[in-house]
Amino acid sequence: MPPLGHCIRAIVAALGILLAYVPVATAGDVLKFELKMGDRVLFLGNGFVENDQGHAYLETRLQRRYPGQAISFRYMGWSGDTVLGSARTAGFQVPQGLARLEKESLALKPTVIFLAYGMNESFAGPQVIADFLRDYDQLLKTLAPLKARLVILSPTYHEDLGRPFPDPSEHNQHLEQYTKALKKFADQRKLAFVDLFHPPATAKKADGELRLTTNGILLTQAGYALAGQAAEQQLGFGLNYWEVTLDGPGKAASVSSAIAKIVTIEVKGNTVRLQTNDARLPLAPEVHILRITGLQPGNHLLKIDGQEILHASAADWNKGVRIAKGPMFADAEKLREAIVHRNQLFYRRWRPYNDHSRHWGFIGGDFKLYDQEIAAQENRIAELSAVRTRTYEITRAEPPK
Amino acid sequence: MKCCKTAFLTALTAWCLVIWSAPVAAQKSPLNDLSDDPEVARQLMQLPEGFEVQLVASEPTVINPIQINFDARGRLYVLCVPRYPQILPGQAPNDYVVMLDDFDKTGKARRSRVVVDGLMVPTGMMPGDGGVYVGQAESLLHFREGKGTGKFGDKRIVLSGFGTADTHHTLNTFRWGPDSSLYFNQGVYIHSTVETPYGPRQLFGGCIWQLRTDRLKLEVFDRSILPNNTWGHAFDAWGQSFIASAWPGALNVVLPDSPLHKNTQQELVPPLKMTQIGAERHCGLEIVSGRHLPDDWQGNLLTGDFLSHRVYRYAMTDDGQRFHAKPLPPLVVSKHRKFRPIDIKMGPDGAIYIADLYQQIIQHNQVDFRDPRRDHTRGRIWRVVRKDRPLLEIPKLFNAPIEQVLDHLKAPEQWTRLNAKRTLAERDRKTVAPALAKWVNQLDPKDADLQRHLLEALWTYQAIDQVDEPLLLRAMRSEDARLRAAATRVLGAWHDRVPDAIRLLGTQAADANPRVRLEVVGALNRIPSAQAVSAGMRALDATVDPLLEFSLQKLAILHKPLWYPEFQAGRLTFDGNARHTAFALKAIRGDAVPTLVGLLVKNKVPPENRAEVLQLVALLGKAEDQSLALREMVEGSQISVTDRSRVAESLAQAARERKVQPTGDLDRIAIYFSHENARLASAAIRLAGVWKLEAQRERLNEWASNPKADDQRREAAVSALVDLGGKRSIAQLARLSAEGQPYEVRQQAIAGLTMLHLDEAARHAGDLLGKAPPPGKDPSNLFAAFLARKDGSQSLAKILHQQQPATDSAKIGLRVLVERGVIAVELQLAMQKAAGKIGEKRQLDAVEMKRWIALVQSQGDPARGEAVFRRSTLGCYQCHALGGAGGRVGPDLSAIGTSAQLDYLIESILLPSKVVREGYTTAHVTTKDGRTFSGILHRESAKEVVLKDPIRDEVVIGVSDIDEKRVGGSLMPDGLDQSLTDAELADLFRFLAELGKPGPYSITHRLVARRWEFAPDENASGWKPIYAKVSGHLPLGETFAADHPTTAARCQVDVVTAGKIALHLNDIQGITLRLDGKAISPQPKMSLELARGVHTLIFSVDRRVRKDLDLRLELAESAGAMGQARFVDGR
Repeated sequence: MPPLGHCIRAIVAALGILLAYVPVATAGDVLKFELKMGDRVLFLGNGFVENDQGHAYLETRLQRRYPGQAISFRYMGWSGDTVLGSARTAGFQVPQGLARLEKESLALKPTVIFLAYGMNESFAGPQVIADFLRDYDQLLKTLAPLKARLVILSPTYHEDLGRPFPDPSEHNQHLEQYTKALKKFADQRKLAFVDLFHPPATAKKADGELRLTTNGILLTQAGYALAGQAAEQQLGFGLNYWEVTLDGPGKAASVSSAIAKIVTIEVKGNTVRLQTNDARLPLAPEVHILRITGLQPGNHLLKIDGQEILHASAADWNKGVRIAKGPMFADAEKLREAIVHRNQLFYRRWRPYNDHSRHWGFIGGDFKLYDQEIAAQENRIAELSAVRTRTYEITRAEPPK
Repeated sequence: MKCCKTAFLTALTAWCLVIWSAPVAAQKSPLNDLSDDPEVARQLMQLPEGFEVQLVASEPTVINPIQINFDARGRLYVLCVPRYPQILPGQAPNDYVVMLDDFDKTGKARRSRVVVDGLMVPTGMMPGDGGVYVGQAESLLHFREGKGTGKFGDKRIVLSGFGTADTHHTLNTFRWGPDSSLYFNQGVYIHSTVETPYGPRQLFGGCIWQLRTDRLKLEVFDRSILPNNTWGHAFDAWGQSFIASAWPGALNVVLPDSPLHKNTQQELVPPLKMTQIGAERHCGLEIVSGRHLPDDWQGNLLTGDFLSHRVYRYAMTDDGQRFHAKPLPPLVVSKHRKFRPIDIKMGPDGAIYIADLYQQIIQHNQVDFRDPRRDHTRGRIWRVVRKDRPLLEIPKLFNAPIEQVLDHLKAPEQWTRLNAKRTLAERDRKTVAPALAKWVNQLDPKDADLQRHLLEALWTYQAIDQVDEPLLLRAMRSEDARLRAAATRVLGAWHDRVPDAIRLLGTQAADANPRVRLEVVGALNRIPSAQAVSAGMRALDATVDPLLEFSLQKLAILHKPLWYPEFQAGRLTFDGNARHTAFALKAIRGDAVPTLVGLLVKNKVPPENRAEVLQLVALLGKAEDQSLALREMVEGSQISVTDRSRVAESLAQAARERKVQPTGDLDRIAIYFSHENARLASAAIRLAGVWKLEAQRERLNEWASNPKADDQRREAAVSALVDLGGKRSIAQLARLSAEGQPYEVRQQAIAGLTMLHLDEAARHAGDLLGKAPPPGKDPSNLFAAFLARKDGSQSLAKILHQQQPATDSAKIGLRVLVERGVIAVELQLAMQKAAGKIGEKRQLDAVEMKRWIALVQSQGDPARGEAVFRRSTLGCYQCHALGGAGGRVGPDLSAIGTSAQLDYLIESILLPSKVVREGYTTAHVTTKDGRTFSGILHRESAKEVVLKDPIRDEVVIGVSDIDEKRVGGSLMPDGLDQSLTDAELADLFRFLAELGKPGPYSITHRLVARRWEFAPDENASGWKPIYAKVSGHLPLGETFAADHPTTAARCQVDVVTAGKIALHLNDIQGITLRLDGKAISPQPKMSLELARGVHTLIFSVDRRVRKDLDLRLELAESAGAMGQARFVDGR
């Protein structure tokens, strides 16, 4: 399917730009944000959160940093929502707003809350920023009994999709003002803050062909991948750097990053076999770099866990080969898919079809089934994120035709 | 491809088998109305002479189709939803869109291809923009067609944030408008907040959305009426749009750009109905057009009625102001119980296509989502053709040269014109524009259809999103009002791209045609500007009909933040026009009071608005404003008695609800206590009470105890004493309650006492109820008064346990309990003891249910059941209507037998609180001053709660007065069945189960008088309601015993278009007739020339001559009867 391929290329391209951007913009701003075993993380917000449950790049990036640990995530995003919960209703013509938000947030007992608000408010212009912050404060007071660690996310960027779509330049000025105001708001309260406005703005400036949103303001998969990476880095998580060097067959290995732990190295004839325990899964645009010096001249095939990955010449191996695919990447994608699946289950349980009091007699029985499915999926997420041993095998082989 | 072939062969084999087996089945025995053989279902459909129905597709290709639509290539897309109404957790989503094409002569689709699958309960679908749009729960999705023959890919979430609270309300009824916007609907329980690049769009409730797919601009197109379940939407050739709704079952015109919230502005809802609200449950709406169908069918409306298994046909007429739809013989009447026609579409071949959901159980309100009787494996698409005419050749639009496509804009078939525009919208728009300009230039000025072609050209400019101002202006100045109206709507859509749009609309507001003026207001609604309101008010200069008045009020309300400050600052003057100014100010009510007062003082209010303005000031003004209204009410010389009463009533309402009263000398109103007009006098008397005019106490007491005073005045005086309150009032009321006073006085006084001293009231009530009520009197108001008080029923019960009431008093008390739906166990016991029976709580387990079903099936008799239903002691009609006649508090039961299964009906009556129908949630409110109210929660805002109850219709309670509010349960009273034997209940169930099914208990489509009132003779007072039987006959025998010499019966006709009205009467024996008081001669077939408005017909029946012969009156179709009328229905 061409679109998917296109999509992945876009993500890779976008992230490449991002990598260049992030250290400059956030140097000095990097926070120390950590999760703990048993944390319950809640994403609360507008359409950004509601749609993110179908992509979950940020969660995937966080989950992989705590492999095998039971950290649960829940998404309670509502399209069109504002800091006063104005989109939240109870299924019978009565907007419930903050009352529903409060009740449901408190019931989940989260220990960490990500808040994503501001996009909907921003359409009313910068003159209501003061009102927005005042209401934001009310939201924080509402959540205060939880004593949760809070992370404030800025609104994203309004992508210019060309005419006849609206020209977003003025709206983007406003969004930038909202972002600045929110940053100040977070700093004053010593809360973690993530700027999601500038990363896509910069990425788009560098590559006009990128399509980061579906309609100008809601992110595509590429957009979420970019936002996920930006958030991970701004929260103070270093790059996921995997580099291993083997100094000639049979000799000692040097490991340049903390996440790769060598278990065994074997050399048999023309085959080098390396086993590692990796601390976490890689996500594009990250790569693994494997260097092997002293290989016989000619072509060498790399297999990881038995899968053919790539061919490279001894000279290339000597310089270091970039590995951008393989079972570890596939496992990361499986992890993300498992998260998305869990999100769908939770969403259908939280906001079920026919969520109308008079149908509850019919759908009430479904809730237990959903809970079982969600629990099973949580186990799978922990399993998928766990550390595993991988076998890298480099063999002398004919290059592919 | 191979797979397709196999499926086709399998289908072909099945088809052959069907053809072979069908004649045998037909000969042997009556056809099985639940047979899953498509041929049996086909044979069970009756069509008009010369038509035939063909099977296009069935399972396994098509399962539970919800919507059908053709693309511009003539391929039929079917949205199939086997997972409806709810997916099971863990179940894979497998709903899908299948594309059918290459239809053979028998209608059969020779090719089919699933183009989208893995969907999860989608409810709307439309091909377009190179693929297909699907509405699925919170999202509007688009899938793009690839090059090959595989599935559509490139799934895109176009918009999301639509509500999901009820799957039969989620995004549905997709339709391309002639303007190339995509329209889709949501139902009443849907709360949507959609994030668009123009900002969030929020709507809680039912509406029609309008989406420009090329700009992703989403707006609310309509929410002016109460579209609970609006499942049909169609545009006519001139762009007017019509909707069909299942609940309430009616066809309506759409008033565009009406984004008022129904919960706050319902009182403004204008008459948009084209049919009377009836038993029909419309789903799908299409307008007949094209050469394959008869000439006199062109412009007919087709709707599917999924309850009665029919496809209805209506003739549409337009009197310039309003559209009317007249029922014609149906297109399809099926006896098959799974035939559920829920979408109707004209095909490119000129035939009529029908989507048949094919379900025995359709709704998910009363029946479990996973009831095994739900069929998730079958579905049908049917095609109706004329036997003697060939189908049309499918026009070539896709890939055809632009010039050829443009020529299709002249086609007689609406399908072709619409799809030509859609095709052009998807071509290179820069190439289309010059070709279109050339096409317009080459139009023949003498062509009879020139105006229509110009409109098509204008719409095509909308399709390619380009403004052509000269063409627009030409169309706005056309000689054809229909084109002017349509063009005005286009200007509304282009207002930000046409300079001077407001000025142009201001000029157009003076148009002679009311519909053009209406479109002007609709267009101005879209322009956020103070000047837009000023321009709109110019429409007042011609005759103002209710629709226009509604629209203008809405315009003023919607844009209030824009224009009112400007007006106050003196920058907006409405060109100095007092009438325009007064109208706009009146529309925004409370906010405008200071300004209105200013105008009153300066004498600048036009005389025709003066009374209304005074009322508004009285109702909403501050104390000093009210003083002005009071002075005018008391001393004004140019104010009618009725208007005086209205102002007084408004002042009383304001005092009660807002606790505001005028300053100055209030005792002045006493001069009206003895006024000859009872309404004015009682309004003044009541005012003295709410204003606590202690100085008037003795005079009020006199009025209360004056046996010669009329009821109205005396009641007012008692209520005034209650309002004055205190020990003196208690003593005065106690005196009036005591023996020796007339029964009515005692009753009123005791009722008043309940407000002041409950135990004292109960003591007197015990005395009053101890004796049987005198003839013609009954103590129901007394019971009602106790029930309306907190602890009232306990207090009365305590007395009645000690002091047994007379049997008749007790019976009436029990009836009041039932009618009001009040649960008061102690009181019930006390009265049952007196009435001679003790009820017991019913149990209804599976065994018992089985017994009931068996009993109903073996013994239940619908005719006897109807008699039970009609018993006034049961009070069924208090809340329920049949064919529109009866109460509106509970659901109309006209077709209940087709929607509800027997077990549900039994349960609803025996255990009413277990099953509460959609929209009938009740609220029980206790106010801070101890009053209690129960009713259907009608609407709710930050300021007030409005309940509907069987007795008073609407009850408004200020939120600040509420002490406690509970929601839940049914208003349908418990214990309703206790006065009935099992045999009577079985009859009643059987009657309900038959309602709407083909046969004698199907409410006819004919316009029959169903709501009547009767009295002993035409001069008598105290008319009582009575309703025609399902058959339309009014049983005179039920009014008075046969030996009673006379019965008078009256009904009302609402004439919407003046002219000759034909009335048919079943028999004229023993009848004299008066029309609006004037004697006319009764004839079996009458033709009356009637003016617009409501007319009353009184039938005086000599029972000695007529005996018990029923009365049946029908509004008939007749050549030369040009007027349009309907009977007044309701309770």
